[in-house]
Amino acid sequence: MKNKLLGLLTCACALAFLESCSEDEGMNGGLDLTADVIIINEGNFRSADGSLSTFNSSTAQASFSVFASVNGFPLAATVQNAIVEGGHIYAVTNEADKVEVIASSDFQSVATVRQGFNSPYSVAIIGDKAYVTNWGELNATWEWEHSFISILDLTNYAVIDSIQVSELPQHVLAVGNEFYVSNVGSNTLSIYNSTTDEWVTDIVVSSGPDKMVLDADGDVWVLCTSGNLVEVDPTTQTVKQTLSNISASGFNEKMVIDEAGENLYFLSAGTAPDYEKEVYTVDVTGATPQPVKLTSGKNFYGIGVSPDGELYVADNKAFQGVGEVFIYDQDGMKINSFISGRAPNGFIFR
Amino acid sequence: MVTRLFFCTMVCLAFSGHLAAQEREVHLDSVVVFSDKGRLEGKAHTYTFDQVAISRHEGTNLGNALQSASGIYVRQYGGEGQLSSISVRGTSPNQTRVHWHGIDINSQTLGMTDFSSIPMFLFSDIVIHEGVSSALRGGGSAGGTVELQSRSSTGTGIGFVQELGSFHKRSTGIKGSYANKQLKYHVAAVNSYIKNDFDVPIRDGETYQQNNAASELTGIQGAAIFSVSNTSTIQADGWYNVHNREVQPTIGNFNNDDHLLDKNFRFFSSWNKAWVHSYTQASFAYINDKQVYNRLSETNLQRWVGQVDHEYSGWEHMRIGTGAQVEMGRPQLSSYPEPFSQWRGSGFLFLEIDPSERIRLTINNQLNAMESQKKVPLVPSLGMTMRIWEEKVLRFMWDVHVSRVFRFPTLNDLYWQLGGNVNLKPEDGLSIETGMDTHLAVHSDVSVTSKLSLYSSHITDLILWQPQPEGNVWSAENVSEVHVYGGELLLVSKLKKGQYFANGRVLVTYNRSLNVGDDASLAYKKQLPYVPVHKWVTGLDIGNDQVTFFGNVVYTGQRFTGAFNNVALPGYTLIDVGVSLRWPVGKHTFISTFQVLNLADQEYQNYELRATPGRNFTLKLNYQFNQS
Repeated sequence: MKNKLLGLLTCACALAFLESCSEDEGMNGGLDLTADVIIINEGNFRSADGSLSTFNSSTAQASFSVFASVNGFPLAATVQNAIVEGGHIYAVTNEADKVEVIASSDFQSVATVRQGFNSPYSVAIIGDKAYVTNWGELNATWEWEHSFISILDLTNYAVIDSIQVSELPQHVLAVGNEFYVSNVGSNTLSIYNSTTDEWVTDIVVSSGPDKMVLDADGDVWVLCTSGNLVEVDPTTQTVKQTLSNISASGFNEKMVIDEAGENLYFLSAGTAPDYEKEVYTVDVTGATPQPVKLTSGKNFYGIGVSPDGELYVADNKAFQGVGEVFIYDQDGMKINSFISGRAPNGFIFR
Repeated sequence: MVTRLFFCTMVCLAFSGHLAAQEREVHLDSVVVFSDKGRLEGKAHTYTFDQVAISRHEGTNLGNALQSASGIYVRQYGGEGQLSSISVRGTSPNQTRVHWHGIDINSQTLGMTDFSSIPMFLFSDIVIHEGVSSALRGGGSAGGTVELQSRSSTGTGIGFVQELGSFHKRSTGIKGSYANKQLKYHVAAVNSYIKNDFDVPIRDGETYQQNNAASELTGIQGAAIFSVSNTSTIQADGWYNVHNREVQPTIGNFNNDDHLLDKNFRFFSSWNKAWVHSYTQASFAYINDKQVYNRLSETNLQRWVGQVDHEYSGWEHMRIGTGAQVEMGRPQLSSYPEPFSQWRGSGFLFLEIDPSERIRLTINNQLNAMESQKKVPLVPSLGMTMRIWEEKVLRFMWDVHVSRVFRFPTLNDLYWQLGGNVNLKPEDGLSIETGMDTHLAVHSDVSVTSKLSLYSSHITDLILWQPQPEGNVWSAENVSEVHVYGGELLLVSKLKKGQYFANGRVLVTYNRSLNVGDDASLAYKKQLPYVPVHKWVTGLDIGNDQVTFFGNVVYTGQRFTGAFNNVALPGYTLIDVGVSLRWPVGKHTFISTFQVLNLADQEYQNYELRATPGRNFTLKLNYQFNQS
C-alpha cells in the first residue's frame, strides 16, 4: 500500500515537472534580425523596459526584444530616440542615461556609453562625432536646469566634451557640417559648427520648436509645440514660411518625412469629444502647403514612413502592456497591424 | 540543467522511502478549528511558519521567507528589503488579506501590504490560509489570508540573535519574556540592515556594484496578558516598525537616488472572557501607517477599529460564532481632495455542524458595508470536510468549499486625484475549491503526508486603472474578468531513528490566471502578468539534536511581464544549503547557523530589470536562556 501511494505521488510530481520544463520554450520563435522595420519601444519610465523589436513587412512576422535576445542582457532603459547611421544604431536612453551603440546588421552591442549624459534625448551624427541633447536635471520647482549637449567621439565611444546651453534643448539634426538644436523651452533654433563645436547663431522661429526634418530641397522643417510648422532655409539661416494653427501634440512632437523628402507626417494632440490623436500629412513641394488629415487613434505615440510610402503608426496602449503598430497606405487606409514592445515611439526602416 | 538535476535528486531523496520524520517548516491543516485564542477562523488550506521555520528566517523579512519556503510568488523589486508584494493562488496582491489579531493591516490606500516591512523575528507563528473562505469578514480574500501571530510569553527567559551576511548584512534581535500566574509579558526588538551592494552583470564580462539599494528595518513589539480572574484576561499588544530604504533602480541606472520611509504603528487591546460553553472577546485596535517618498510626498493613514466576537460550543454537534466590527479610517494624502473620515462595518455568523462522526459542515455569512458604497452584500461561504478513512496507519480526508468572492475598492481607487472613481462597484465572483489529505504512518517514526488542493475562481468587475478619452488621465474602472484555477500538492515525509531524523518535503503549485473579460482583446485568455504557472519548493533536513544539515530548492517558472504575454522572464531555480549546530548547556542554549544562499550563483530577475544577488552567505549566532 505504501509503495503504491509513493508511486502515484512520484508520478504526479514527474508529470508536473515535465510540464514545467516545457513552459520555458521562448515565445519569440525565430528572431528575424534582418527584418526591414525596427521598432523603437520606449518602455515605461520607471520600469526601464524599453526595447527594440523588428517587423518583416514581407512575411508580416514580428520579433520582440531582439537586442536582449542577441546580447543576453537587456537594454534596461527608457528609449527616447534612435537613429541608424553608418551601420550602427544609436539608441539614446534615459533611466538609465546612456547611448547604446548597436550593429544594425545583427543587433550585437558595439558599445554602451554611460558617462557624460544627464537625461539625454536626441542624437545626430556628423563624421566621427555624435551630438546628444541633454535636458539636465530637475530643480525643486520641477524645471529643467543645467542642460547641455554632449559630444561623443565615435572612434573610442567616449564623451570628449559638452556644450552648456541656456535653453532646454530637444531635438538635434545634422545639416551638412552644422547641427541644429531645437530649443523647446524658447522660440529659437541654435546652430553649431561641428568642426569647432561652437555656437554659430540662433534663428527665431515659433514658440516651442521641437522635431525637425530635412526636405528634398535641404530646408529644415520644425514642428513647434505652439502649433506652428516652420520652414527654415539653412543657406540663409532665415525662416522661409510658417504654417500656423497646426494641430501639434504640444509636447514631445513626432514628425517624419518620406524618403523623397516631399511629404511630412506628424501627430496631433487629441481634441474633444473623442480625444483621438490625428495623423496629418503635408506636401512640402507645393507653393502653399496645407496639412491633410489621414487617420486618427486614441493612443497614437509614434510615426514612421517606409521607403514604399506606407505609414506606420504606433499605439502605446496608454503604456498598459505592450503596444500595437498599424500600417496605412498613402490614403490613410489601414492595411495591417502587429504588436510591438511597450510604448512604441518610432521606427527605423532599412 | 544542473540545477534541475539537483532538484530531481532532492525530490528523490525526499521520497526514497527511507526518509521521513518531523515536519518542521511547512504543514497543512484543512480543518475548521477554533483557535487557542478563541478566535474563529474559517480555515481552508493553510501553510504554517512555525517557530522552527521562523528561527531559520528570523534575520530577514516575511517576503523573503515566503519566497523561499512557500508556494506563494513574491514580487520583489530587487534585493532584500525592497518592495515585496505577493500573489497567492494567482491573484493580485490586493486580493490577499493580512491579519494581525484578526485585524486586516493591508494599507487601505493601496489595498496591500509590503511584505519586506514585516520582520520575521517579531512573530511566533505565521499562517497562510489559502482560499476565499479564509476570512470571516471584510471580503478581499480571493487569494487567502496571511495571519501574523505576535510573540507572547510562554515563561521567563531571554534570547539574542546576531546575524551577519554578504552585502553588509547585519541583523540583531533581542527578546525577553516574563510570566507569573497573573501577568505575562513579552518584548522583542530587531534591527536589520543590508546594503545590497552585490555585483550586477551588465554586459559580457562586465559587472557593477548595485547602487541605491540599502535597507534598514527596525521593529519592536511588546505584548502583555493580565489575568483578571480564572476566566477572563486583558491583553495589549503594540508593534512599531520603521523601514528606511533606498529604492533600488533598474539595472544600469546609476543616477537614481529615490528613497522611501515607512513608519507603521499598530496597537491592539482586548478583553477576553471564557464562559461555561462560550467565549467572548471585545477588542480595540489603532493603526497608523505613514509613508514618505523622497522626503517630500507624505501619506498618513490612521484607523480605529472596534470589534466584538462571541462563540458558543455548548451543543454536542454544533458550534456557532458571531462578530461585528466597526472601523473609522482617516487618510491624509495630498492626492486626495481633503482629509476625511471613512466608516466601514462588517459582521458574520458562523456555524460548524457535525451531522455525523465523519462529516463536518461549515457555514459562514459575512455582511460588509463601506461608506460611499451603495451595496451591503451578503457574502456566504460553505464548506464540508469528510473523514473518509481513519485508521491508525492511514487517514484520508476530503473537503470542499464554495464561497462568494468579494472586495471593496481601495481608497486610491475611489478618491485619488485625478482618476479616483467614487462610482466603482466591488469586485465580485464565485470560488470553489476541494482538497484531499492523506496521512500514512507506517509506525510512529515513519510517515508520509500528502495534501492536494484544487481550486477555481471567477471574478467579475475587476478594478483596473484605465486611460480615459482625454488621453493623459487614467481612472479606476470595473472593466475586467479573471478566471483563476489551479492546484497545489504538498508531500511531507518523516523519518526518525534514535536521535537521528530526516525530513523531506515537496510542494508543487500550478496556477492559471486568465483574463477572460474581452474576447476581442489581445489579452484574452492570457496569463496575468507576474503570475508563474509553476512554483516548486523542495527541502530536506537531516541531523540529530546537535547538528542539522538542511537544503532548500525553489523553482519559479517563467512569468509574463505584460498582459499580452509576448515577453516573459525566464524561470529560475535557487538552491540554499546550510548547517546548524546546537549546544544546550543547562538552561542556556547556543545555536550557530551557516547558510549559503543561491548556491549555484543563479542569475535571475524576480521583477523585470531589478537585479538580484548571486551566491551569498549568512552566519547567525543565537543564544537562548530558558526559551523554547
